[in-house]
Amino acid sequence: MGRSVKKGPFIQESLMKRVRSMNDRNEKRVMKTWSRASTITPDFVGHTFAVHNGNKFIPVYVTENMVGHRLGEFAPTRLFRGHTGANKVDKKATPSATPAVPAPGGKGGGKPA
Amino acid sequence: MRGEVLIEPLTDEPDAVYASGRRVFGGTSESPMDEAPTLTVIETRPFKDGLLVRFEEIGDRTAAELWNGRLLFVPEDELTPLGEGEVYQHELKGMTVELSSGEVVGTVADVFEVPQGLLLDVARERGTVLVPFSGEIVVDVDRARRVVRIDPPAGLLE
Repeated sequence: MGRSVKKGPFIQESLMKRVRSMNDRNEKRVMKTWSRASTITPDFVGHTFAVHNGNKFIPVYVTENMVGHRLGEFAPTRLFRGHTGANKVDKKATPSATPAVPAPGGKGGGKPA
Repeated sequence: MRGEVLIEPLTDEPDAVYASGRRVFGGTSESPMDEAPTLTVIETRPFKDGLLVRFEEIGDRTAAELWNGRLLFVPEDELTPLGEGEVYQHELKGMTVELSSGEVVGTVADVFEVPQGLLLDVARERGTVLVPFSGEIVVDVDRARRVVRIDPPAGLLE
């Protein structure tokens, strides 16, 4: 069941404070957080968060199409290393600025769309 | 029954790789390509998340079962050429990561797939650090020198 619209999105107060103060100072610095449940707002865009996945901090660079999702969706608790033995997969990688967002409805680690 | 095999494509171009008449090689990435058994594609159709492929050399279910769990390869020179700024995922492993200033950060030890793209696990003298493979952080990838140049935000390498 979805969260009540009346309450608004959940964002950890201290995290929001840090983001706002960085935006005021026009500073870009990686922010460590354990708050996987915090919803990404437009204020977060352009910042990099180190989101804890229970084991280590996963760097998440926030882009516009991530707004409305939660930070935890981008820090899977299990990291997929690829197919065993298939170390020559001909998948191309390009450092483009068009990241995908998790599949809708997926709680914690969706497949790339 | 007819010896069709279900394939999980690990390529960006399954339609081209499994096109009718194309040859693929079975084996491991270490085994030489000229010694690997060759399979010729007759027809391909989509099935669930994969492809059902009929090969000339596989005529029945018994022959198909021998190929269970195997990997299929194509020669690198038969792949479509890479575009500008593109690199194969398997090439990233082992590349040197350096800052725009030329200072070496470490070597790519692993590549992880996450919802927003790829993460490079960079091994340094002391431990490892994760670096997002995104356009905002990765400046360029030099395939010839095997170098990934990055411009990380403050605090990423701490």
